Amino acid sequence: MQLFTASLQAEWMKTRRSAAWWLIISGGLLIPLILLIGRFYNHELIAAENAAPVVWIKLYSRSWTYMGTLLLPMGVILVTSLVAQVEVRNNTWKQLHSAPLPFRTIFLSKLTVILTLLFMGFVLFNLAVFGMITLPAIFYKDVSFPSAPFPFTEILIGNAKFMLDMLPIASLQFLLSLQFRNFLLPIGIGFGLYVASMIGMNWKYGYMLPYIYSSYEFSGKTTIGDTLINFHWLPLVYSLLFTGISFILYLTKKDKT
Amino acid sequence: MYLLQTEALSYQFRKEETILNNIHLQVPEGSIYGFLGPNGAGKTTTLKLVLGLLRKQKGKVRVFGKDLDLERLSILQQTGALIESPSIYLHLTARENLLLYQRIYQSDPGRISHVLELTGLSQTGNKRCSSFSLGMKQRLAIAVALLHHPRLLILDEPTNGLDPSGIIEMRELLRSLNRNLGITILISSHLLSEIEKLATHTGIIDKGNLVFQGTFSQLMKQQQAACRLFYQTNDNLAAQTFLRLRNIEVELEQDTMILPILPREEIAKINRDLIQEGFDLYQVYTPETSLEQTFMNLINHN
Repeated sequence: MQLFTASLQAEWMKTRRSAAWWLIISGGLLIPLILLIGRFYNHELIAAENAAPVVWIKLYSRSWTYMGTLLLPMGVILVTSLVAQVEVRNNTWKQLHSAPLPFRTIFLSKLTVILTLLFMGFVLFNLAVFGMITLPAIFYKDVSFPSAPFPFTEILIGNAKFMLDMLPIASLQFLLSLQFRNFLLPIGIGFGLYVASMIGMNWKYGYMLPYIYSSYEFSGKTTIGDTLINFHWLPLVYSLLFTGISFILYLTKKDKT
Repeated sequence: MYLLQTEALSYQFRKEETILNNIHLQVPEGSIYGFLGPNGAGKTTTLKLVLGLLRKQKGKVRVFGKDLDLERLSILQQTGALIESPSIYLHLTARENLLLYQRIYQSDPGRISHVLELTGLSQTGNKRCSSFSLGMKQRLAIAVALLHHPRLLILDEPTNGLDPSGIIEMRELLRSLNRNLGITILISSHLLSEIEKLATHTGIIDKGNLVFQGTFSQLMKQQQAACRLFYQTNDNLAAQTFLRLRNIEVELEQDTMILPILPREEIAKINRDLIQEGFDLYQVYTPETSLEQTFMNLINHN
């Protein structure tokens, strides 16, 4: 455990001043900021919107629609590849693997840092959406804070679903980034798979595509094909499968430089 | 006692391509072991295998008397390494790079300032490593390798890309680490002059074979033993017959007679006999054997 903590601290330090942080910050703020500008532009609608009992769900859903279909998959592809490939870009695999750390510790700490960063992106996005809904009340006297109670449970479940949806992307990108010495290759493959998933959205078996799930949330379907099984089992199975394969490939790699 | 030794270490990238063949490396404790060989001879592959960076195919690696397969972490805890080009995080500062490894090695935080000073990098401040010169990066990589106070330092071509003053500084630093702190150093290079100035022991590798291992004086002795005596007379053919009758092994090569190296007294007697027999001696000599020549001979014979 002591080694894992040490390794985790070291991995966290590597993200300092990295592009991954800028992606997390800009990715978390972009959609709420655009929607906030939109609200300010149509400020005459804000008072009625804030007074409506569904204001939270309505605006959270609107934010997630843009986020889930485009920004989230792209962001996950980029952040995962950037963090996992820090060793390739700096030619540091050989130094890290010459350090007294078990390989499984290195693998787990890298994965933990990626998931923590993505989680922080989710937190930032939620806070930004909250701000987008509540801030106009400070600027306009005729606009009041939303009076409807904050649907904490629904929003938490919604976030958990999107978190689960992006896990196959994160785990497969992690696998690709650990396998290739080329930085652009995992990103290229990731974008290719995302585009393929978008094309396969209307395909009968589209739910099988691992990069589809955050968009699939808006398809109106909740089950796997004609079965009664919730489709969220699929991203869970995919992410466990990809992580397992990635771990085995990493451990058995002949050349660890 | 050997601090590091390999037993019958062999490695192949492809079936038909042998990179290392039965390497028995023996690095004595407290030594500076120069691992010499031309580019592509197998030096880096050997060092990568010793550090566990390449999966071993055949043979054994023992460091500090421990088996690398069984006690990798304990070995690496006492080993500092620099393999090929410097491995540092370019978006971080020198201090941040060291802080990161200080966490991993769980070493004393005070060591960071010490190794920065030792490698002449204490004035780099908040400068990111991306703006460092190659020499500075190389020194930082050495600082990382020294951070946890290792017993063994494995350096693969650490002077690559350094200017002459940088090479001298590096040499002085390694010498002082060895003398003052007792750190055993295994350093690879393709430059004989570099190793000759620094190392106490050497191993010469060529085409994956260890062609020599020992001290430099042993290397010279071995080469001298293989030396020949060259004679030029007015009639080499007759002189050869004359010497053969006295049971002396003589070969003829163009206008020169070649004899095995003999004790001084015997050489004097041969000279006397030849002159008394009426031969004119134009030249008697042994070609000078510089270390460079010795190195080239070993490699060419392989």
